[in-house]
Amino acid sequence: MYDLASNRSQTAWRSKPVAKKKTEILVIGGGPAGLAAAEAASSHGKQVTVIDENPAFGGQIWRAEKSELSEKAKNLVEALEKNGVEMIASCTCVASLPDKRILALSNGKTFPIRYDKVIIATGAREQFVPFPGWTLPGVFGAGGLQALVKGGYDISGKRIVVAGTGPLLLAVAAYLKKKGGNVILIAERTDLLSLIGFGLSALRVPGKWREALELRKEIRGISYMTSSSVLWADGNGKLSRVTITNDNEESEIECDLLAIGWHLVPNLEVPTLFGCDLLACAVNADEYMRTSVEDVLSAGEINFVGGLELSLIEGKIAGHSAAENLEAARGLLAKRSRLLTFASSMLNTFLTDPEELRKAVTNDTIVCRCEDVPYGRVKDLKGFNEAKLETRLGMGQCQGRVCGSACEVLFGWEANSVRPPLVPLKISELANFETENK
Amino acid sequence: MAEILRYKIDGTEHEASPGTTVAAALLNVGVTAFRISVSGEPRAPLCGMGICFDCRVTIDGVSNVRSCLEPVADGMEIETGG
Ligand SMILES: Cc1cc2nc3c(=O)[nH]c(=O)nc-3n(C[C@H](O)[C@H](O)[C@H](O)COP(=O)(O)OP(=O)(O)OC[C@H]3O[C@@H](n4cnc5c(N)ncnc54)[C@H](O)[C@@H]3O)c2cc1C
Ligand code: FES
Repeated sequence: MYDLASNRSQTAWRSKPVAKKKTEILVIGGGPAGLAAAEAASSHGKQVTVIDENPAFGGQIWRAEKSELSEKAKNLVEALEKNGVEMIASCTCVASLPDKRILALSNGKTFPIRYDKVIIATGAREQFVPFPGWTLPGVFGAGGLQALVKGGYDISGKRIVVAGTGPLLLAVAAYLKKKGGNVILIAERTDLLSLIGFGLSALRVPGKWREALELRKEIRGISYMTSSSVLWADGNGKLSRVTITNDNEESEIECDLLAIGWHLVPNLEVPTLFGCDLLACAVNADEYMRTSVEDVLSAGEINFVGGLELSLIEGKIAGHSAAENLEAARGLLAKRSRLLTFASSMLNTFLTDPEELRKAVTNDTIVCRCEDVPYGRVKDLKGFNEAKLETRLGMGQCQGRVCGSACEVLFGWEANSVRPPLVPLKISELANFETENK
Repeated sequence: MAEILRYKIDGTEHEASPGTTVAAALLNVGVTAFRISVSGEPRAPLCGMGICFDCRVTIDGVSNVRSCLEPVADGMEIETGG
């Protein structure tokens, strides 16, 4: 039996494990978008429940450091609890059930939660692009390494290369340096001219230039290379060096850790379970955050990967809208549209040609890490389904969360590995799931 | 709350401070093979946030737990290399 929870002392960052079985507005995901949605919805007197898979609320940007919630998340969570919002951490939505219910998994137990309206705010994750050596221990996603350090990973003195593209690289490098990491290089794939162009456009957005200046100060002293990317990672059982190409010149760099970040991609598993219409790899919601499915709303980075401010405003709109107060939502639409415009311009700056990303891949490069399927075995197949049948690609525990978006980049395939339950369940839990599903 | 948590990795006792995730604790101890892949390679965390399932270990007899989502607790027994 799965009894992790009963075996051990509950730490302070774990909330009450058992939820009420019924709520008016259910929010799935307690990042900035979900928290803002809960705040707006509860301001209209609605009964609101927020669940989050993580042991602490705050999502990606406000991720807790060890047991401590970040200041902003803490204030919001406390205010929500005071307003009677039910907050359940370490609780994953694993399936959508008939009769407006979800199946939730918390501390090894599954139970249904019934709702009148649901707001999905499951955020985004990092896009991973396979390259030789990316399966070596010591190779992390950029945000992934940051998350692990926030979870207590001590990187002091470790030699770290940060690579990939986008402003997230600078934020991650600054954070790792602050935590004692020896960040020896930031390798940005985008060329200098595009970066300057983006910098100039960002200056037009209030507040952005100050943010940029602060970051510059924090990463002073770290080498920064543009037009460069990682060709391969190497090591015996763990990472010991990377090869970087910079305008066709290759150099080898000894390091302990590689933090590699491309774009972010929306976490579409939950909206897929609900049957929401998708468009361009995101949820297709209207300006009031309503999806194609009645009483199902979505907010934040699952709609558009556009950063904190956009997620917050979308959360608010979704909260008002779920509480059927469109008037309150309407006042926020103009601001949302401005933020959307800025976010799109940023995306265009760091857009990487898939051809570029494919360059490093060789026939032996593993594409599906769960089933160890190499590039050479799938490259001539016709699509994701065929690859699944022929090679088991995408059939492992991660349900294609990693190789799905990788195949989109490598082959232009649309991934479709999502299946309930989203997380492998024990037989005993599965029995519960199946009776619930009838 | 205890200042120091005592837990075991593959039978050997270690210590961690409260709030540390199991993944972070294993990395701190120098574990590289969280799990062994189907072709026999060592695998360790990639995403740090519950997406990749490469950090999975056995905790208190329960297999396939994503260690990046699980805080260390006093008395916990972790098995790697599954
Ligand atoms: C790794 C990473 C690092 C980032 N760092 C920065 C940064 O430094 N600066 C910056 O401006 N922006 C950063 N971003 C962008 C940042 O994500 C957004 O600005 C903002 O956090 C998005 O808010 P959100 O609420 O839409 O999603 P998120 O913050 O991603 O929150 C989504 C929440 O949903 C939960 N969830 C997911 N699936 C389920 C499920 N099935 N059941 C229950 N809960 C679930 C997750 O645990 C998570 O807490 C980062 C993004 C990522 C992915
Ligand atoms: S590190 Fe990816 S799931 Fe834990």
